Amino acid sequence: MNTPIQRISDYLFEIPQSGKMRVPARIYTTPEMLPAILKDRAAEQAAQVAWLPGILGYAYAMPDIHWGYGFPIGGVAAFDVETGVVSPGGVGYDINCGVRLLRTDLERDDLVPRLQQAVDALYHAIPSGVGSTGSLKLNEKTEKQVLLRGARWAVENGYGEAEGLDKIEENGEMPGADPGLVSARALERGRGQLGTLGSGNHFIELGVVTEIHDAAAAATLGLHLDQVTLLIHTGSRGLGHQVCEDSIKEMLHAAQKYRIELPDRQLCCAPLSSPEGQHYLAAMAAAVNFAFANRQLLAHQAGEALMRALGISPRTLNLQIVYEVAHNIAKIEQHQFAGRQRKVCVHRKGATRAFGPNHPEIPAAYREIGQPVLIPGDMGRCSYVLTGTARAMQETFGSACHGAGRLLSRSQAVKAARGRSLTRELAERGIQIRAASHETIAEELPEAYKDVTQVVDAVVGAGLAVKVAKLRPLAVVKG
Amino acid sequence: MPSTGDSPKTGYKILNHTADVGLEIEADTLPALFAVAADGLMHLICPHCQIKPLQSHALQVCGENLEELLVNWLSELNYLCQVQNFLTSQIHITEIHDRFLKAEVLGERCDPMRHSVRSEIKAVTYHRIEVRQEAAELWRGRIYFDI
Repeated sequence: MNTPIQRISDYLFEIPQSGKMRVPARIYTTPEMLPAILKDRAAEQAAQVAWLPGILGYAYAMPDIHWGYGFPIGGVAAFDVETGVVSPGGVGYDINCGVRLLRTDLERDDLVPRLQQAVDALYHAIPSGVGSTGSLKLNEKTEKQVLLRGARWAVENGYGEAEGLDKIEENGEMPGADPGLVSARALERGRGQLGTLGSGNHFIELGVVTEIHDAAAAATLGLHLDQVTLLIHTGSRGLGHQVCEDSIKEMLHAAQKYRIELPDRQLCCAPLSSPEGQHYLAAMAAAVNFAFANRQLLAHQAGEALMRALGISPRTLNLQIVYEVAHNIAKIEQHQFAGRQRKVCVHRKGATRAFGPNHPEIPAAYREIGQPVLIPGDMGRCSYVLTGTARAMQETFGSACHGAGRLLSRSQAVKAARGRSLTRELAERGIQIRAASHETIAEELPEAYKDVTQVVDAVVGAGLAVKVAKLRPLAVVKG
Repeated sequence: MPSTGDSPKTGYKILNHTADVGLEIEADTLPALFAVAADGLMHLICPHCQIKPLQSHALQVCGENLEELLVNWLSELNYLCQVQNFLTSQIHITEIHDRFLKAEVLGERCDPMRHSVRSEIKAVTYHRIEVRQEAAELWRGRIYFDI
């Protein structure tokens, strides 16, 4: 499809409303990055999201947009709760895939001489790769508690401290979850997977703060130059995948029942006010909580492994949550739209909530600076800590990008990696990599992703977020 | 297209997708098309040559139409792989029509020492899905997976 596109500003492009689109689609990016976006079907997918009933404003796409299935990755869409829909494809299969950033009291020079021991310890402590299962075997009753209580369940069962739970979106415990709406098959898929990283682009990364862009905000977040950090990227594992799969089956029928015309079946949806819509939100919230518990367990296991490997006490490591974001989720939020307060369902699929300063849902300690927005890059370059802005609240229902965004398909990446030792290349740049398979490393090679700095510069240029700090990887465990 | 049966036009082609992966499938009959799709899915998960046909599973799958049937069929094989660690190498489709499929699949439990599992398939999607008969002896389809 040849998608017509107009330049609105240096950082914003628009696909005009046409055909069955109910609103235009808007892509936040730069003229330099736009040609790569137009190479695949991502822009066409953004335009197709605009077909869905009750969509407000625009179908948005962030600069890390790339071709997904149904919704593009990097897509944001808000729907009126009374007239709009909820779509499992607008959240994706990895429900509450997200990122947790932790800070330590270690400095770069404390870690670098013992980096190999540290990364080996992480690799052995964290089950990762295809089909990985954790040491924790849940029975059905306990698993349903996890689905209700999320990260709080993990804390109450000895995995970490309650202090810090307020630094997780939804405090790590999304309300409205109904484990009774999660299928036996989904429970079965999740049962052995709590406390596992999974495969693909999921990772645990030891990094270091290399740039501070906003000293006051960095101080508020407890970040300083040369400080060692830990970044965790994973989601709800097989449980979330199955909840999405089950919901899509139900939504295909619901879309027919409610006579919703779809340009792609993967966009299937139901009115938010319908039993099917409410059913999905409750099952999704359960999977969201599974992911919150998963990241809580992984952070705890990683902390234990680092203390053992480095022979240091909890006090010396002082591993503390900076913040945790969900970047595959649908949430009921209050937003100002067209001059009045509206209750809306915001779908963020490969996009991060980026609430501006003084929003009541931001932890009290961070309220003045805005919500931390965590943007991991590829394993060879860098990641960013940003904060949300008032402009994001006005323009994108409080949303920004979620990462670098893929540029190459997996087979193109494997081809580009052929004949190279990526582990050695990265080691020469001071980055240790551990992965369950060579193929994963090849698929995840840095060039497979857009340059995260360009992506971040685009959202910052558009005013959707503010740069606080830049992190550089020292060691990465890939799934 | 790698050939997976006696007919030269039976096979699959892997479709590039920026984040995920797809299959374009082709066969002379409908059962062969569904077998080819299963073969392609398993190829993405683990090389066939490593999987011995030691155990069998009888599967029955329903769907409202052929596209839904294809998604449910491949999802069932993925479930066997994800939850029961069962890798499929041979597929015998014994009955199929618009809304129903019955098959026997042969394979073995995954052994990390012998099987190099390449990908975890999160799910079988409906994105751009197609199943169509183009001629008396020509069926074609397309399917994408989330990985």
